[in-house]
Amino acid sequence: MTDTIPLANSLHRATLDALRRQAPFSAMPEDEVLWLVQRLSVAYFAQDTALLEPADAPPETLFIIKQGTVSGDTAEGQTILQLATGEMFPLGALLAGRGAANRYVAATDTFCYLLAAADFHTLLARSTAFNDFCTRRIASLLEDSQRAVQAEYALALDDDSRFARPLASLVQHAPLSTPADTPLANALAAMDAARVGSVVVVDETMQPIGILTLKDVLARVTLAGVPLATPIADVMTPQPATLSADAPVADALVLMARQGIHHIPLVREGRLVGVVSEKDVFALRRLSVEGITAAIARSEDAANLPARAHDIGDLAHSLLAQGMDAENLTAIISSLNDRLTERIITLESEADAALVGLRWCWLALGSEGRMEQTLATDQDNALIFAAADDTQRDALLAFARRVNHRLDACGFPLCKGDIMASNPKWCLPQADWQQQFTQWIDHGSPEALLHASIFFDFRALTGDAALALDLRAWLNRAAQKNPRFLHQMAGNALRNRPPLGVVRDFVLSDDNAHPHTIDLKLNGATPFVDAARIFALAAGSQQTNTAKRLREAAHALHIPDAELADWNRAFHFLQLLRLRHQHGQQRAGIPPDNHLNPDTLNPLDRRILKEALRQARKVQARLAMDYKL
Amino acid sequence: MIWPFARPLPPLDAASDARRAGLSPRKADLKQPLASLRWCVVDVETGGLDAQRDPLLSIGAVAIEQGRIALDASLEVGLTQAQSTAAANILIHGISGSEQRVGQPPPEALLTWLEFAQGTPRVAFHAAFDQTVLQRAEREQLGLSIDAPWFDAAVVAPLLFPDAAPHCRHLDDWLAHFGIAVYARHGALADAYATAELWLVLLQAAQRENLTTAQQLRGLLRARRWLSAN
Repeated sequence: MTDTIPLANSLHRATLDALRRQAPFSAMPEDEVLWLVQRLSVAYFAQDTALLEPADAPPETLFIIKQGTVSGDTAEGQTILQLATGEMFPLGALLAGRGAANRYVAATDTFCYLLAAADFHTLLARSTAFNDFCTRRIASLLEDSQRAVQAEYALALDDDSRFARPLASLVQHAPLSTPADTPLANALAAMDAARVGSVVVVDETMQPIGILTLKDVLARVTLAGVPLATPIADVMTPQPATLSADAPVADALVLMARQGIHHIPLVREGRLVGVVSEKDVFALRRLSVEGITAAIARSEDAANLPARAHDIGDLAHSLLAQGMDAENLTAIISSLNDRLTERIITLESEADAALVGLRWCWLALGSEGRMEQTLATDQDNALIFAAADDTQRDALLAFARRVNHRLDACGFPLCKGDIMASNPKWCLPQADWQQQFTQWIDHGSPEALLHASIFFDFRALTGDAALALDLRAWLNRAAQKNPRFLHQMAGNALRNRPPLGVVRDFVLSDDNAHPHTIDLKLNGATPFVDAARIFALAAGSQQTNTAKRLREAAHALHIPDAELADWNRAFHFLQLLRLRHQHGQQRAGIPPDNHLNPDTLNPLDRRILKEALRQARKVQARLAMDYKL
Repeated sequence: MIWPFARPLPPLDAASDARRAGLSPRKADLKQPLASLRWCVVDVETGGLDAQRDPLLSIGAVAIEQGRIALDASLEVGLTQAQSTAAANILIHGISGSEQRVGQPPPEALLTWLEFAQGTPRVAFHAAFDQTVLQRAEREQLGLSIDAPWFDAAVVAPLLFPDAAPHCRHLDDWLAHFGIAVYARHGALADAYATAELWLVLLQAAQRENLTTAQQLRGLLRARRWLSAN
């Protein structure tokens, strides 16, 4: 900020402090927020008065809610947004320089900060954090949420004795330290020789005054073209966060998660005694993807596999605790579940002489087909085979039944709708599958569309994959030839509207079984899944995974990268909420489901949930536009 | 506004003298619509509760323009004291002796205040106290007797919200009633700002009651005073 800033008085200071308690102001340097504060004015709107009317001209003001609730209504008078303290509007209209589409009305008595549009644009140009927030709203909110989750779970782990150990117990060798005037060349050579990822810069009394990690070297030395004769003090991170060597491991987890750092110098009486890295901390984990994969592969008795399924669940919980994102986490869960299912299928098929010489392929359907399994997932599977007589067919059904029951024992309950390979309706030769798919495509009844939504996400799991690939290629041609079917699928998908609230933030279920909740799966994730499926079928894509389908379709449909990124972030946030919700239920001994009471979320996550549902509406809007619905 | 030059003005240094001479005597037009009138919401801190005798310690003020409180135009000025006031008063306001002595010399502080307030109507809660203290200081320090209109939020509030009035006496009561937070109670600027938010609520309510000008509002207040006096 180059403007001279008038001296801040107590009102400016108090406003600054209040703003900085929420995103994006919390991430902005103080001078930028002060610049903003001194350009704000405060206005009052009694309940039911309009703050902003839809218009052709771009809005003159940005509103930041200081206190109260504002609802955003469509031209038809339908309330589609509820904005609370700290939220800003109309960002879209201001950013695009177009008129506001919605009418904003005070839902309660409301005080707002107002910023002139010209000042908004100046701030946008000057403040990276503010710009990021406005243009990548959901992305930056998510980062904040992720940090909070990591810290929260790290604390939850605190009662675990592994994390109550003192940090000193993790230290394996003396710390690498160096004085501030050491040339980079020497410091980097010492790191290389000691095979460590960081060097601590110390003063004469061995107090840490800075740290340089290998990760820093890339950006600050290599890419910046800093000569290696430069003293390390010029590129180090000054005043690094430190912990007492006697502090528990959990403290390091929290600090690393909160500050996004990977190395922490340990001190005793101010003097450096060691360094712990993220790797040291997470090495305490008993379970790893590799370990479980190997244990599954070694199992010769299917009776041992339920224990491995349990390990998969534990690993998922611990990865969730470490703040792993939903896209990777669901992919890991799905791939481990794949290994487990494959092992069951191999054990059951190898032992069965009746199957010898048959060409068959086990198909994963639904969320497993999409590689999007959460912690609560029942079985959806089917079988395709080349040709078989009645006896062989019976043998295949018997084999499928054994696999279904083994999977049930591993915690994948039998499908309530009987969509399983052991059901003769879903254990079919190639030609029958094509006939069945054709019938669904031509018929277009609600039941046919429902089946299509489950079966068309099929993926080869074990057996002769060529059978599944041929069927996929055939299906894509059949769907593309039948635009009426895609149109019906789109119409059906749009009937499931994301539950953004009229009176409150969210429309809550009036279902007696799950009062005061939203169904994160049906109303949250499904709009993305449904739209991605239609995009993929229209484009003839081989993908079954929602994020991958969207990525492929975005290219074909000319959807801007930023929009695509927001869709995927929103989808994965909803998946993450499902995982966290199910994780909590499992810890409490409750069978996991997808019914979340939004009141249990913290304000930040509530805002992201709203934003994610708003993105779901955008995906649906795109679908509606493409299919003129 | 009346500028009585009958008595000789207290002597000021050249810069302050020029500022005093430059004060605009233009008086606000109370017949303008309430929504577009400029208001100056003020609160003072004094060395005691005696408006006639105790020293003025600080002035906090914000301006309402076009129905909005502009944060950049806010005034917070302390007056340097020859000697700090009694410990008892420090307990009330929490301003310590050393804090009392920082600030501007009283004539400069009052010039800053008058330049900020101009001829606009003043608003305060229990305005009589602030009015008395400020007018006394203006007279003593600058030799000016300024007759700007004063509005008392403590009188206007019960008039517009008679249902809330029985359980709202103090500023805190009204702020709580409307859910208005104070960031630092007993700071002059903090209280002025909270009063300004209250005034925004009252202005909206007044317009709802078809009071469209400050003059009409003043007429109503006079009628009320006459009624309660008789």
